[in-house]
Amino acid sequence: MNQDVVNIAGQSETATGVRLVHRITRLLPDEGPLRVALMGGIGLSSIVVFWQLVCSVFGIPHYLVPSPIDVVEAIRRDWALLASNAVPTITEAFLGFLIGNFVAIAVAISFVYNKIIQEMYYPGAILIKTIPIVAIAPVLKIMLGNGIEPKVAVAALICFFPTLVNAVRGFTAVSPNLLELMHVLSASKTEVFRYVRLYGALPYVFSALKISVTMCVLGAIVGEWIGANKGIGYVLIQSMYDFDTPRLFATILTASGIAIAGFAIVSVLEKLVITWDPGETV
Amino acid sequence: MTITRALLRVVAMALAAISFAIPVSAASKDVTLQLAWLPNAASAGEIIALNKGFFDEVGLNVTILPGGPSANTIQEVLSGTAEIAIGYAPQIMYAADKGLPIISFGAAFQKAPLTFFSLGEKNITSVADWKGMRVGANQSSAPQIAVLLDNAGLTLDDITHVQGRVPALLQDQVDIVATWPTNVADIALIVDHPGGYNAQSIWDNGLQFQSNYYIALKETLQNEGDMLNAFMAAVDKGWAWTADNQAEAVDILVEFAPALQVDKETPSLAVIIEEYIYTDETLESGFANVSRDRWQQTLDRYAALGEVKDSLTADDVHDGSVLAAVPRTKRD
Repeated sequence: MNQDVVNIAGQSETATGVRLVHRITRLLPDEGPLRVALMGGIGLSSIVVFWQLVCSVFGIPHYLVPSPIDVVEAIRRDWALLASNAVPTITEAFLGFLIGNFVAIAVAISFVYNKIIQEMYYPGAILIKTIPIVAIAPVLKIMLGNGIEPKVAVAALICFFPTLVNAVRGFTAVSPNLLELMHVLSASKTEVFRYVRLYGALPYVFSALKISVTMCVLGAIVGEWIGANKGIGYVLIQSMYDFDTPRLFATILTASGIAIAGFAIVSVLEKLVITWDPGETV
Repeated sequence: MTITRALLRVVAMALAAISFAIPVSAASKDVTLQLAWLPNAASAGEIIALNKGFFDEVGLNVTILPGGPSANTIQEVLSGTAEIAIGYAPQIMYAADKGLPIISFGAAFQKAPLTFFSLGEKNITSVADWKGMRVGANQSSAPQIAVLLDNAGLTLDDITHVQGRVPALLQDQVDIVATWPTNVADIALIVDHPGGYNAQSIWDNGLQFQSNYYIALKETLQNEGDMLNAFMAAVDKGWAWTADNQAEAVDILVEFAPALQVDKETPSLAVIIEEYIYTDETLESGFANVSRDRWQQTLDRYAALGEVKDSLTADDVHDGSVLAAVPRTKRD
């Protein structure tokens, strides 16, 4: 008898729990950016709370992993330092992004229009991808000097390959029917490029830009590791060697913030540029 | 006629401008100094010399390039990126061994600070106790470890050499860790350890080389000895000023390298000046003094291990002409 009472009570508790979850989920917006932001925010907060709990319960020493509270404190204390050092990193990453992608797209166009060039230089492009960036960075410093140039070069190198591969694929992934139609209409090579290939390539190029915009920040940071007294890469190394893990994490978050901002900007640009259904052109 | 006169006037003015410009550019020579590491208390004297205008006073327009974990200062000098660099003894010996045209002409640090720390509980009181231990140090430290072990009758096979830093020691991933005691932030974690700690420095265990050597191309030493003399005079003044005005020097350092922290650099600078820059030897021989005998002993030790050629002598790695020509601060 008593057992039954407990069971019934247990069931009713579960039912209350389920009802509560339902009620909360009903409060959430159905879809759209607000829901994305809200759900992402809840997920992220749960991770942060878990992180703080693990640090507090297990007494993890700060020199190994700082607690989120320590990191927030470091951001509050060092925000001016982080902000001023973000400027050179953003500049290097942005210039590297521009140069790397511009060259990649130009090379991709030359590949599409000249098979011999593609056959000759595509292996070279793959070689660039396989170069360990950390190893080539000091060499770039010796070649390009001590200013912003080697850092921009590292960022550009890291951007180059994803965009090249995607752009080549995009420029060639054109329906043969469309090319046939343009041929029937006596379209010139330029017109075929402008009205067919470009439209076919843009979705691919934007996918690549989304990858390279996050990679170029990494490139700029690696570039700063060769020798700099400003930039996010410099603050990272200095904090690492000072065992200032809260500031190290704050710097990592700043680097992520820069990459996320870049990703968001490219995503918005993609929405503005690609106003058609990419499926139709391919 | 008027046009010709006007033209002549322009030419005359241009010539005058050039003739004025030449002495100015000759008076101030562009020199690039490559640091061995990120700017910090270990390069305070050079940064102060720049900030306080001591380089300008001797006619040098110096640019200081920061180093870092991936910087190779020897390569920077060889490629001409920097005329002068700060380098470590092993780098210089390996460069000389390869026949690279590099030479050291002074050393800011009178002794190399590399020290091996262990926690008190392990009771490692001498290098002889290292047998069977895990030693955390950079890969490039292997020859130094080998010399120390050799002096204690051990070999590299008797220990496990792993990459590890101070946190690895505190987490019991290594038994011994190599670091510079000048990095106060680094050793604070060990010094604060409740069970105490033990330390064996390379200096006290039979490997006596100096550190933060000033290096240049041999060609620069031959052709631009005056520039190197002027440089030495300015850094001597820079370090002396730093020693006398440590608090202000730290402020200038932090301004130069904004990620530095005053509370960490202040004790580091004090240790560097008291223990490494000014010693009994600098009281006698002056700032940046280099002992040729020690160079020779170090080369012999490295040659015995097969790290460098037997034929290398102190003259291959050091030239005393700059130190001989420049009167330097004598203090301890």
